[in-house]
Amino acid sequence: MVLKNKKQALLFLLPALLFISVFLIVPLFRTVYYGFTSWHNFSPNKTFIGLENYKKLLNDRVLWISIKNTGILIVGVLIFQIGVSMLLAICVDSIKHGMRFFRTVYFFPIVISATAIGLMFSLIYKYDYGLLNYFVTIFGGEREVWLTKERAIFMVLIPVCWQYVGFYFVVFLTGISKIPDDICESAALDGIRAWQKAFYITIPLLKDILVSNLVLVVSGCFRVFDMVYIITGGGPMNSSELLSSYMYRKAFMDYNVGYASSIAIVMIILGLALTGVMRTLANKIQSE
Amino acid sequence: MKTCKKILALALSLMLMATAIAGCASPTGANPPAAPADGTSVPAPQAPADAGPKKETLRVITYFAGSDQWVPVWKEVIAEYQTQNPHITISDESVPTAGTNDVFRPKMNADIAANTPTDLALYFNGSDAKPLLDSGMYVTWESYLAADPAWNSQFVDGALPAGECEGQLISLPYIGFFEGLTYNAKIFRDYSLDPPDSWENILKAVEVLAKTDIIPISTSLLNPTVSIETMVLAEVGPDAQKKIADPSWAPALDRFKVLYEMNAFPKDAATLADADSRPLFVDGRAAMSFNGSWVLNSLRDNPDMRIIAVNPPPGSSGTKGAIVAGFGSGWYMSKQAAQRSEESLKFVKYMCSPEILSRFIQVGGSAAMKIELPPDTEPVLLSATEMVSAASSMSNPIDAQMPREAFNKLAKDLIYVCEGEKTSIELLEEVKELIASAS
Repeated sequence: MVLKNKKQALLFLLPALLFISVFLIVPLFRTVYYGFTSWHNFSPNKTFIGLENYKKLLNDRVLWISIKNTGILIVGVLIFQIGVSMLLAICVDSIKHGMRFFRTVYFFPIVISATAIGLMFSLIYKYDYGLLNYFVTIFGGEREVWLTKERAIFMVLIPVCWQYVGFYFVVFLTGISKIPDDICESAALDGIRAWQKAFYITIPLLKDILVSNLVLVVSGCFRVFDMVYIITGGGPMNSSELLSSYMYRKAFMDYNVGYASSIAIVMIILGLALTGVMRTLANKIQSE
Repeated sequence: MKTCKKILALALSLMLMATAIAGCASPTGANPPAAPADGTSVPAPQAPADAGPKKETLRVITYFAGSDQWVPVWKEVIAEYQTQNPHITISDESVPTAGTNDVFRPKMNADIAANTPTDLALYFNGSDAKPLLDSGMYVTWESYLAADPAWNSQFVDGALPAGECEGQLISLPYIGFFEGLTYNAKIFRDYSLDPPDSWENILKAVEVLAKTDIIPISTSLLNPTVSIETMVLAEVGPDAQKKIADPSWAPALDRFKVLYEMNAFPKDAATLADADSRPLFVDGRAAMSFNGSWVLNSLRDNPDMRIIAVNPPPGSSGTKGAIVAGFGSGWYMSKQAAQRSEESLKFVKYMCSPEILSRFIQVGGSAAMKIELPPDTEPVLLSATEMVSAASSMSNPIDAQMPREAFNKLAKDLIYVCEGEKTSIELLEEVKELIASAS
C-alpha cells in the first residue's frame, strides 16, 4: 500500500467521491424518483403518479422497438466487433511485416468522434447525393433509398461496428503478444497449421481478454446514441430507435421528463442484468 | 517534511474542490438580489448621480445562430451597440433552432431548471411561454410599456397580444412570421400548369410532375411541421383549427396520404431532415414546398419564386385566404436582470426600435413595430406581402397551441398514416391522450 495513512488516502479520494456523488449518484437517485412522476416541460411542478409511467411503457410500441433494436445492436457488435477484431488480430499477428501499419489503420476510427462518423455515414447513405448511390449510378443502377424501415437499424450498425473494431483489435493483439513463444514454437515443431494454432492455442489463451471485451461491448451498446441521432433520427417510423435515442427524444424533444426517466431506469435495469449475465458467463468460462 | 506534505495535499484537494464549485457561480459575476416571489415588473435600482456607467455583461440568448438568416444582422447590431455603449458587453449565448436539431428549447428549459436564466431571451411565444411564466423568473411588460407611451405606440395593432400567456404580457413580440405554399413559377410555366392556388391544381401538378425528374412537393416527413400546420388550417378553417386534435382534422392528414401515394414527396422523405428538403426547392429540383417566412431570404434571388396561401380543398370547411401567421417569438427579460440595472431594458428598447427592426425585416419576416420597407423589394417578398395583406384571417400555428410532445407525435407519426399503418383518427386520438396526460 502506497499510502499507509488511511486519512491521507481518504483525503485524496474525497474530491473524486464528491464529483461522482454530485454528477452520478445523486442524479441516479433523482432519476429513479422522477420515473414515478408526471413531469413535463421541465416545469417546477412534478406530480407523483406511482407506476403510471411504467404501465404506459408496457404498452409503448416504440419502447419495444427500441429494446429489439438494442438487442440487434448487441448481437451485431458481438459478431462484428468481437469476431472481426479477433480475426484481424490473429491475421495481423501472423504476418511478419507491417504489423504497426495495420495496427494504426484499424485503430484510426477510434480517434474520430462518433458525431463526425455519423455525419460521414449519413452523407454516404443520402438518397440525393450519397456516396453509395453515386457508385450505384456509376455501375448503371437506379438510385436507392438506403434508410428504409426494414434496414435502417442495420445501416446504423455498420458505422457502430466499424468505429470500435480497431479498439478491440488492439486489445486482442496485445493479448496475443503476451502468449508465451515457447508454446507456439513447440506447436510449430509438431507441425501445427495456422487455423489449428488459432483455435487450439490463441483463442483459449485469450479467454480472459475475450471476457473483458464481451462485457465492454455489451455495456457499450446502451451508450450508442449519436450515430442513430445523426444518421436516421430514430426513423423511419421509429424503426431505428434505440433506448438511448428514445429516452433523449422523450426528455429533450417532447419534454416529458418523467416518462424519459422511466425509460432511463429500464435502460439501467437491462444494462445491469445483461452485465450480470455476462459476468456469470465469464466466471464460468474462467473457472473451466 | 511530513506535515508539509499533508498541507500540500490538503491545499491541492481544496483547490480542486474550489475549481469545481467556481463553475457553479453566477455567470454575471456579482450575485444579483433574489427576485421577489410575487409581482412581475421589477423596478431597477438607481445608480448614484456622480458615478459613470458601470461595466456590465448582458447574457442574451436568441435563435440567431447557426445557419439562421438573421445571424449577420444580429452580429452587426450587437457589435454596434457595444461600440455605442463601451461599458456593456453582450454575452451572446444564441443557439440554433431547426427541426430535429432544436437545441434552443432544451437550453432554455435547462436554464430555468438550473435557476440560471439569461438576462434577455428572444424566445418563442404560445405554449413555449408557459414554463417561463410558471418559473416566475421573468418580468411582464405591461408596466414598462405604460411607463413609455412613445415606445408603446410604435407597436403595430394586434402584435402585443401574441406575447401574452394566461393574460400576462410576458414576451414582447418582435419578428413575425407567416406560412404558405411556395412554388416555382418557372416549373409551372414549363409544364403548362396553373399555379397551385387550389387543391385541384395541386393534384394536377403532382400528377404531371411525378412522371418527370421534378419532385412535386419537397417536404420532410420526418418533421413536417409547416406542412401539417398549413394543411390543417386550410382544411378546417381558423375556428376548428383551435380545437386541438379534433376529429375534423383527419381529412387534412388523409390528404397527405393521397399525395404520398401519388409520389408527390421526395423518395427519402421519411428520413429527410427539414433542412435537407429545403435545398431541393431552392435549387429548382422541386416545384412546391410548404415554407415559412424564414425561408424567403434564400428565395429572393430567384424571380420565379412565389408564396401563396393554401386554399381550402373542395368539401372542406376551410376559409379562403386563411393563413398561419403571427408573432411566434418575443423578448423576455429576467427579473434578476431587471433588478440589477436598467441596461437590459435599454438593450431591449434598442432592439425594439423601428430602425433596428427594419434591418431584420429586410432579411425576412414581418415586423411587430411600425417600420418602412425599402421600395426595391423582390418578387417573392412582394407575393408574401400580397398574401399577408389579403389574408382573411391569421392563426397561430397548431404547434404553439399544444404540448410539444403531442405535436411531435402528430408530426412524427404522419408517416404511419401515409403508409396506411394507422388511420388519421387513431393518430388524433393518440395525440389527444398525450394532451390529456400533459395537462
